[in-house]
Amino acid sequence: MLIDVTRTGGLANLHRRVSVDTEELPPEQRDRLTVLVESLDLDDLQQRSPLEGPGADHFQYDILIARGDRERRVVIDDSELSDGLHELVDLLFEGEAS
Amino acid sequence: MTGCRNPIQCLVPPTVLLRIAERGNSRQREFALRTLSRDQLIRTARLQNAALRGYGLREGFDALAQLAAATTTPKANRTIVDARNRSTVIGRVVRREGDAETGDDATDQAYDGFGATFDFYRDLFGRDSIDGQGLPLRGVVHYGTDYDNAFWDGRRMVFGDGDNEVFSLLTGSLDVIGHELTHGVTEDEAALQYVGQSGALNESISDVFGSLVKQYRNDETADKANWLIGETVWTPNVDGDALRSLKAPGTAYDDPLVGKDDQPAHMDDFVFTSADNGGVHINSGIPNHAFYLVATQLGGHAWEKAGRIWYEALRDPGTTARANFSSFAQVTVNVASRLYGQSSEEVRAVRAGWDGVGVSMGVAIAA
Repeated sequence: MLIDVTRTGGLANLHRRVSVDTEELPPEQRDRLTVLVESLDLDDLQQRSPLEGPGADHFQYDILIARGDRERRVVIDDSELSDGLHELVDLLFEGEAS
Repeated sequence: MTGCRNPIQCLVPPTVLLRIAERGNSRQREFALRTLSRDQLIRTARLQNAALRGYGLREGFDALAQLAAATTTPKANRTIVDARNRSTVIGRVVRREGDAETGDDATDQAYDGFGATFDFYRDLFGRDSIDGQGLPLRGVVHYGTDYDNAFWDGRRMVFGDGDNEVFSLLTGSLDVIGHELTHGVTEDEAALQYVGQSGALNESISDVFGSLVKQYRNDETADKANWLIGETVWTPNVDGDALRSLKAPGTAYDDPLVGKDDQPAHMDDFVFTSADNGGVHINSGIPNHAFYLVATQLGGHAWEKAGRIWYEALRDPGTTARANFSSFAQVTVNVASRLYGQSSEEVRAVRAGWDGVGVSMGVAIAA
């Protein structure tokens, strides 16, 4: 599974991008991400995308998840992230210069 | 002699006058405020009489106290909440209006910054807070962990601490606080949609007034101001002066870690992108620079003429939620004509400012 997340926007609009192929991760991390992604209703999220919250200067995430020949893309403000998506982007950006 | 020269004006009810005082152009506002204050005098006299006549001393005095409260100068009502590094806007209240300094930088900077921004809008434009009706100013500090951002969530202003490697405390720059509070003002007025050109205008309005709040506090003229947004946001690790520059968009930073400021200053370099809500923080460089050109052309304090024109344009019915650069430019010209006359120096400066960034005048966009 390929997960590619780009964060833009926010007051400063710095671009941050993390791309991982779960097959190349240690088993523990791979399993954690797989369970997490499976818990998301990606079809629904894609349909509602872009999910924009009220207000201004929120980060905007562009999340692409490709599994086999299925690809789902969700554009979402950080104010609209569900707990699952929040955990996903936190995991991916963890350790990265934010 | 009667107290009323124009019978139509006598028929205007106070609620409508309040509306005109809030929404009208400067001449209408002046009329409304004068009429209201005369009306207040009459009502005060009536209440005093009622109180003295034993209409109920207590009721009379209560009413007088209410009237006094309603007619005194608007004052900020600030509340700062500490999120304690969690990603929530709910937390402990750490400073309320009138409380002494806490010693916590983020709390005190947010409190002071809200005060300076509130004063700016009140003193210069007679505006009572974000909504013009005394909305309490709510701030959340220490939001998230190492959170590199500040935002307006539709109800309050939220500030992260920064990661201390790239970003410092987000409350450190007054213009950033002014920027966030102005998002609330914009939402209350034109409600510019936060996407594409209307979103870039929304961002630009926040940068323009964020910068003006700072210039007003420092008593700077347009030629002396640095026109930077977020001067203290970067840590010393980053090679940059600020987040953005209205004077020279695209030059605020250039650093291997965070990249290069990618703001255009001219329509020739307009960026088409789906990122950042359609480039709202990128293309805002164009109207930002237009404002800078107008303000420096007119000279003196930027808030007096250029700022007044932009503020009235934000409130003008011609600026709708779907406004674009051209339609907004046209509204600023219309406002300048109304305020200063069609062939005034101000109108020429506004036209030249937009021309300088390659924006041609357009027609107003329907709501």
